[in-house]
Amino acid sequence: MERLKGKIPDLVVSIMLLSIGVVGLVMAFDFPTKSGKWPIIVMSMLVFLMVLYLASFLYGLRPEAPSTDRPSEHGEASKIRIVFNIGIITFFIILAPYLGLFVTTALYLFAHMLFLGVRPVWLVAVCSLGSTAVIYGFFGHLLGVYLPGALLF
Amino acid sequence: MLADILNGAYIAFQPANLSYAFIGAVLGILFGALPGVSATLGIALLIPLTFGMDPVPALIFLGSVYCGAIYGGSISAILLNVPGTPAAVATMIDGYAMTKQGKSGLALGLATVASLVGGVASTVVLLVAAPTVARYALEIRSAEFFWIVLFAMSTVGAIGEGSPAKGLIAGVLGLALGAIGAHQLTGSVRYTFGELALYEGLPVISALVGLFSISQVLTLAEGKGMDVHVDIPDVGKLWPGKKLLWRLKGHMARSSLIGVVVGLIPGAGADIAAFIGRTEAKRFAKYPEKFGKGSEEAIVGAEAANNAVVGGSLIPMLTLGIPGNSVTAALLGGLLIHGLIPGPTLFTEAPDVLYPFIFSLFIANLLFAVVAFGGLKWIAKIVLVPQGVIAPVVASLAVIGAFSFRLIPFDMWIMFSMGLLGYLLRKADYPLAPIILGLILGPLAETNLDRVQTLAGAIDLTVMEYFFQRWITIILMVLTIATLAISFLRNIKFRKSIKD
Repeated sequence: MERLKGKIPDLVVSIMLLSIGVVGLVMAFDFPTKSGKWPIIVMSMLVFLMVLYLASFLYGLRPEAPSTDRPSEHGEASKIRIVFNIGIITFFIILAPYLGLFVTTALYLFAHMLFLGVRPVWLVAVCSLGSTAVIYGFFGHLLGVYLPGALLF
Repeated sequence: MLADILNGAYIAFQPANLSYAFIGAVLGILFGALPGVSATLGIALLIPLTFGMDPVPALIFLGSVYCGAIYGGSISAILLNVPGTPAAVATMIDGYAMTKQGKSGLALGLATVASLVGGVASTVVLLVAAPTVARYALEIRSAEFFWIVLFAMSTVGAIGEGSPAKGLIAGVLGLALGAIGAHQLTGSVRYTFGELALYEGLPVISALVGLFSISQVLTLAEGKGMDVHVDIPDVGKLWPGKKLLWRLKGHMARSSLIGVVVGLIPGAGADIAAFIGRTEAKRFAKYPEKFGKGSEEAIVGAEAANNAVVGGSLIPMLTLGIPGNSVTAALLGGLLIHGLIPGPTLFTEAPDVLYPFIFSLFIANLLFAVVAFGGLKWIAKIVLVPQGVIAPVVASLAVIGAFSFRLIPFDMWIMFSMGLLGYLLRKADYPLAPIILGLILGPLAETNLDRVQTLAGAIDLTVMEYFFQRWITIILMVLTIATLAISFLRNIKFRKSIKD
């Protein structure tokens, strides 16, 4: 386990990509012959490359292999921050169709900037409202981009 | 053709189009100057917002953003030792050394002039070469096209940054994602899981925006929100003087040529061009000992090369529909949403859009130079904006862009999912550009392979036998295998370098 330190993202991504390849390949065999040919080729390539990559990855983990460990750039706190960041953006996307993009954008910007440590609060409020106004004023009016409303606005 | 070119110039110089070019150049410089916001991210964020515009101003706007962003990366590189874009890393070495010597104005001035020269030279090449290449490209058949796509994908591993194996895997993942949606010939639906929004395939714009923006937002959000550079040195006078510029003319010309050639190669971007330009400048330098300590020759060598990539990289994109790097992949998305299918016929079918676009690149280069000499000291202040402000603004633009493109809420989820995938891949050191190349080129490869199969069947040949019918296909096959072999060798070298 010690030798896995700093390589966990690589291992997770490798397993994820291998899984995508295997599932994609299995599904491709169910497609009609003509439309299944290309997915079979591509998914086979993905599975082949991932098997090779994982083999070389595991070979690099053997005890006598020279260490290629990298120190972790961020600690546990950073991982929790990332989860919260993902959560905030998820809420933005969930609320956008109901509250309307204009309102949701302003609320989202306020919440996310606050979470990211921008202070003082009045500056966060000015930045979030100002950014929303610039996005909508500049793109919506100056450049004539259609920016959709929603249920409430 | 001359009439098309003159008409293109006339349209590009219309006041409304000039103003779009100006706004694009300024936004491009701002995006480029902001550390963590690359040219690709800037264009990806702005493409959906050009949906409501006419094609000509939209492309003029996006082309200007491209030119401005590649130049803008040098600002934070020179002033703060933080490259705004990967292409500015080569400039940073000597640019920041000059800043420490109190010569930041001179460094920025040289970067501006070299960028202008590189950008204009590459646009001249684009204007002259692209129609000629397009004429020859009309002769390209499905078999050749299929192998051109495979060759383009194979070069990603051989030339791109980081691990070649991961570059190849990312490219194949892109091809796999490109297989989502209805089969173009039979209409049979694949990997959509019953979701109608995926029927036409994974929307390139949403995927592009998510992959580059949300992954970057999450990376920026790892740090503290108020992390910001507070010391910007006084820029002072920018104009380097005629005498110095005349002495450096050879470096600018050579690097411009290098940039154009590198831009033509799929997988090689402005960052690679800048390093080659800098290395070659050192080889021919009058004062090679000054390299790394604040060399004017190094700055112009890197900057002319990275800006010259713009014109070079647009040649395969406009004539063959093959984007060579992530920025042109993003721009290709911009063409597609305006109903323009890049390829050899584009020059005959839409010259009234294409030539104004090419001319706008001249204008954009001139405009960013004007903006830089006129107001760089104010523009440079953009680097004072903390990442805690930048990250949410980028995310909100990504969500708005994904939604406003087709007005389908599901597109926001596609964008977000691609962003999370991009973040995970970044953490594992996978490059993201090959995914977009694969996503765009995958359907092209499949369609051409289907055609080859039909054509081969009609004359009782197998697909492989059909491939061996024309020598161009054989050359492309050999080139593809050779680049894959280079990738393999590079991978061994890369792994050895990590262990050492």
